Amino acid sequence: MVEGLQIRYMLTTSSEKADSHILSREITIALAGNPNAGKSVVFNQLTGGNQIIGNWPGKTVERTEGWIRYRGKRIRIVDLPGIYSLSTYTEEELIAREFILSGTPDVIINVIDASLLERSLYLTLQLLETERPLVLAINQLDVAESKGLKTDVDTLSKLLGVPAVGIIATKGMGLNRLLTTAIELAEKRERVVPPMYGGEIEQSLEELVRLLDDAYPEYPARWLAIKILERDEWIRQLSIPEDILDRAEDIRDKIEETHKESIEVVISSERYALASRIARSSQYYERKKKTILQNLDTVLLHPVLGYISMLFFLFVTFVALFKIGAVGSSLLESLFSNLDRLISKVSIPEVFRNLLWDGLLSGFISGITIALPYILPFYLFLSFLENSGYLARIAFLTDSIMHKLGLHGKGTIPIIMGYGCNVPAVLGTRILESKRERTIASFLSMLIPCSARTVVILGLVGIFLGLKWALLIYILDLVIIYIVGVLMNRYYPGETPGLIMEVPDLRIPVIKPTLRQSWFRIKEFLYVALPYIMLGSTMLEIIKILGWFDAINRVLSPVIVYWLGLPPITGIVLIFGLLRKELTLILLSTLSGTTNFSMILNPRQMFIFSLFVTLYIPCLATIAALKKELGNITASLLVIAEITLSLLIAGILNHLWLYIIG
Amino acid sequence: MIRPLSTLKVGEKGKIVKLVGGTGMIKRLSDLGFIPEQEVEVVRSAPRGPIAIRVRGTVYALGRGVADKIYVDDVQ
Repeated sequence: MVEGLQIRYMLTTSSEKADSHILSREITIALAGNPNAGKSVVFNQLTGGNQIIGNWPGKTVERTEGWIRYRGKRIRIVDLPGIYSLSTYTEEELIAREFILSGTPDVIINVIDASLLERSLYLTLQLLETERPLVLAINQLDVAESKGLKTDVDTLSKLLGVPAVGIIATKGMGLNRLLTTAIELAEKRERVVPPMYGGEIEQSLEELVRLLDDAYPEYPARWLAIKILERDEWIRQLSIPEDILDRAEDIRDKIEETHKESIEVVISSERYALASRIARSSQYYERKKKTILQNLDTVLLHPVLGYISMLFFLFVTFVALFKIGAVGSSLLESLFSNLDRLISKVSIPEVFRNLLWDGLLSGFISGITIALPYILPFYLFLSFLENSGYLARIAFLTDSIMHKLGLHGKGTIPIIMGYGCNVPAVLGTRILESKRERTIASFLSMLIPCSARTVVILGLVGIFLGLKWALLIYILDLVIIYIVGVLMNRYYPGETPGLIMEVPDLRIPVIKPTLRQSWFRIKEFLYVALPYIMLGSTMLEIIKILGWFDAINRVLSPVIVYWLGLPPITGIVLIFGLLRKELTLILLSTLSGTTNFSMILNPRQMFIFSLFVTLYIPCLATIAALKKELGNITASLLVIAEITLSLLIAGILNHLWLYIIG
Repeated sequence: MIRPLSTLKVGEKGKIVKLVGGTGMIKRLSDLGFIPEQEVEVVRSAPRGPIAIRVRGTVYALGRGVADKIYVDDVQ
């Protein structure tokens, strides 16, 4: 009776957490592991949920979770970002660490790449330091074996004092046993025994544990002692008494004195020494021949052949992508124009039709017709690049040139993405370490002609002046980007951090996660971009209804006509370009009533118009992405800078052309 | 002979003696296994660009500036 009351009492007052333990109905599992260890594949196999997987370090910053039912229990699986360590060097490490220490996960599944056992165990040891229940998932046993590495899972388990399950996640092998083991462990809720390091470190930790005297019961005392010793910055928020910190300082000085190394290096060495001992007693090496992929790598990273194959590969892909995009987009457009005819038969007041159909709905359709045919294939290609490991090789090859622009090799990734669409490019700058780098990379990728601007360049200059002129715009654009980058690097205070990046083994991407990742990205694009496109196209429709077109053209004419040398009609057209850059061309033909642009623009005007459209202002969706990533102030500054830059370049070029050619 | 890692040629091996530089970078490198006594091998080297180093079976790309700050000695 009393017991029953107590349970009821706890149910009504305690958190979701506590009652889940009493009823044992819900279990939270956290997935932790190195980047590329196959964590995301394990997650997908267990839950079948949406998730990004990637091949360059530290990409899954956002937390992904999924739910499953298992023997009547609700299991919540949280996929932590891929990390190498539990220090607080990166955002991802901080996120992972805080989540693990919060006590929310009932059990941690530590996914380990068997072919990189020693490095993986470095993280495992740190996870064990937190004394939370843990299961090892020894993944990629097949890959390890192809490298000649035989892993003894039982010995690993014995040496680390936690259960270990051998799995091959890509084939779904061992996952059932992994889940059962994890759930059993979660229900037992036993704290694990932390790993023991060398005598000198252990003595220091013991002393600190004694001094701490259980003052912070929410954290394991030994773990706290390690962090205090390591000079971890996070520790400051606990306001630990001065005398303990002073004593820690003395101990640290003594250790640094004897080892002639900083404490970080001493402790890392301790962990690696242990990791290496464990790896050597649980894994055996038999020499194997180099695989085809390893031989391919010799070419792909070659100082000469590497660049040739990279340029060739990118060129072929871009041509293919534009062809696919053009076909897809014309298919969708004919589909929607049928719909258009259908709607025009419905009798509703003209004003509503204009606002709802021409404004809101066609904004939506614009978004879809650009997203599906151009961006989706691009994302598939990008996911392939990432998951095969080739993107890391591109970053390697381009590191030295990117340094001139204040970025390192990883900065090439958002810039390549920019050719598909600037929105994911700006969102993709997250992979860079500092705000300085993210700002430079965002600005440079905004200057990249996305697929929408490609429509204008090819549709106008390419068709009426010839492909060579279109190519000239692309080259000119790259030159401008280079100069802007060099200038930003010189005048933007701060330093370019050095490149430290894992170059994962080349592999053939697993199809399902690659498709999921592309879908996830398309969704992100639609969420960020679509509302702005729809809002903007409705507002322009309002301007049209109010009959402000001519007034706007008149106001803009000093810039448009005198400075840029373009016909007045292009003023309003350029405003529409804020929504989608290719609208400038579509609208130009609607307003002038012809698709033969040579009737309204001369060659100089075509060239200047296309160049200006390429540079003048990011579209609304890109501005939204900029705001999200860099904040209002930086976003506004970048937009103003881009407008100024485009006016300067296009105007000067126009006057030069007039002066030289006439 | 003790020299910066960046001066090693492709295929050459060295044993790490010392890391210099900021605490953040040292912490990062030591987390990845770049610690004293550790043997490393240069896998690729782009002229004046980054170098690819193998440590404990993993290949890392290090910017030249980073590789300048890792000192290695000959492997016996």
